[in-house]
Amino acid sequence: MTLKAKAAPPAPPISETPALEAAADEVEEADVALIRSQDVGIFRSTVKLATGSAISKGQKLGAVESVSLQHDLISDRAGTLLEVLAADGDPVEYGQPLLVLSAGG
Amino acid sequence: MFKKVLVANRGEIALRVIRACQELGIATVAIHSDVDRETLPVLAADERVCVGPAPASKSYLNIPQILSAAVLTEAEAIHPGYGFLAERAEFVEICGEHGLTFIGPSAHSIRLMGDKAVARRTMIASGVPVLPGTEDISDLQAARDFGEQYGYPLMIKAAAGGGGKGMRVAHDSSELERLFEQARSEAEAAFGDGRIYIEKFLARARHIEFQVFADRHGNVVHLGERDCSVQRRNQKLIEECPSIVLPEAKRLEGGRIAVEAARACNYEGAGTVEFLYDEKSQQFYFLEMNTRIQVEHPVTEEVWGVDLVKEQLRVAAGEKLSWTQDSLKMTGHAIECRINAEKPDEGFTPSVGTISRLHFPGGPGVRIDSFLTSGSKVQPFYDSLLAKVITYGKDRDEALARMRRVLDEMIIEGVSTTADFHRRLLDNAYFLRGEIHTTFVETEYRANTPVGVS
Repeated sequence: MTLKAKAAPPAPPISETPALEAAADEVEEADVALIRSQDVGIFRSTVKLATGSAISKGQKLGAVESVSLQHDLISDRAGTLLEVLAADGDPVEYGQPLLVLSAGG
Repeated sequence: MFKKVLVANRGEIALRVIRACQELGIATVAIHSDVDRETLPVLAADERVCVGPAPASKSYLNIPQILSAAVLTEAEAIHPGYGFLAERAEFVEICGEHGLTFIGPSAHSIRLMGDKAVARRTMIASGVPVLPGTEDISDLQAARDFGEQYGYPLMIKAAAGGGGKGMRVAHDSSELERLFEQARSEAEAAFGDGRIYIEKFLARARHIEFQVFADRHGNVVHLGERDCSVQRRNQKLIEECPSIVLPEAKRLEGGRIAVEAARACNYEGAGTVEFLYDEKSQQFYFLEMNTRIQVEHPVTEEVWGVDLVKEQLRVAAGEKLSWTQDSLKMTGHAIECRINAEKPDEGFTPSVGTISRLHFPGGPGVRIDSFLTSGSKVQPFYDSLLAKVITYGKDRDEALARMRRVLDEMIIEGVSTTADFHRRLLDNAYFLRGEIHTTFVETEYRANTPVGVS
């Protein structure tokens, strides 16, 4: 497998990082959950997901493709999909928020 | 030369490598764990990739994620620094399989020198002097026999060893009996390899190591020695270049042996050949070869007027060494104090916290390699090195006087450090006269050593 990086670096610029973290903390406090990448690789939207759809715990939400493996992205909770933060082909890092769920389900 | 290099490390050495890349016009990628996001090397790099959570096994040692980061960012080479993946032969091979250059020696050289017993055999075959010792032994009787033949004290060592782990000194046969199993289980726990061997122990020897450098075109040079005899439990505290006890003829001899050692394992890049040096007999004994850049490399750089990290990058890119043995000349004296986040009064246990106030002195002849900034968090997950304070002078007295004024002026608040301990050492009469050996600190500062340490 050959991975080609996009022109953009995989991580957000330094100046945005703290803000992103702060925003993440805020939304998590507001009863919203973030599904984060567990791997470094390319985000693959292998599953068609519409915002507003119900997500169950253990559901496959996409994948992160690394050098030799494709890691499924599995939801660790039930909820409603509010937003997909990464597009197919985006380079992602460990801990990067990829999807936003409402925790209510 | 490389266009982009990924630095697979953290802390001061990651910053050191990034700075060298910046000066050579090479773009840099820092990898980091999620607790190191705000550290200086991560901020200084052109790109940054979080590869895992805080524990090193899941981040700085996580080969698949680090490789993925290198491929994604289109880095051409990986600099491992020291520690972590620097001496993992399998990592070198995996880099090669993915078209990435590992900045360091081949997997073969690392394997040869990484197994201490194999390294010993290789050195014996090349005529390099070693202390009387055994091959790998598994039973106590063989150890006892060796003690009968060569006398005590003996050093029990781990074949897969490094960093002082699995090492024990036995002063008589009953102590040997007690420590043999202890060393074996410690080696098993630390390296997953319980093989041990025994060497004659020289209680009052100095630790003198030679810097070597080799390119892939068959050129090998040495850059003299570093005297690292001031240690505590096999951890170096102070390093000096040159050693004040080594006559020029012995420097040439040690350098020649070190170059032979590098040739014996087809070495490429920066390496260090460590010896015990017995002052009385003026004899070197091979200890081990470290196949990486070492923590204490700056003292060599100051005295020899070179940049070893830049040279690593050049040599890994296939260039010839930029020096010949004859073009290399040493001038003056350099000393390094390793300032750790530790509590010297509580057995040097680690200290963690947030740096609340920080001041690093400057002035002539001062170099401080550190990743600290005010507000830096000192994490419990990683080694405790905070700063390497290096002073240079026209002679040892000047370098020492500078070190005293630097340590007096330096401010690191928020964690406990070994700075004051170093400051006291600098006034120790034995240290000043150069009457030191590898167990000097333990003998001299016994009160500060935890009870029960052998």
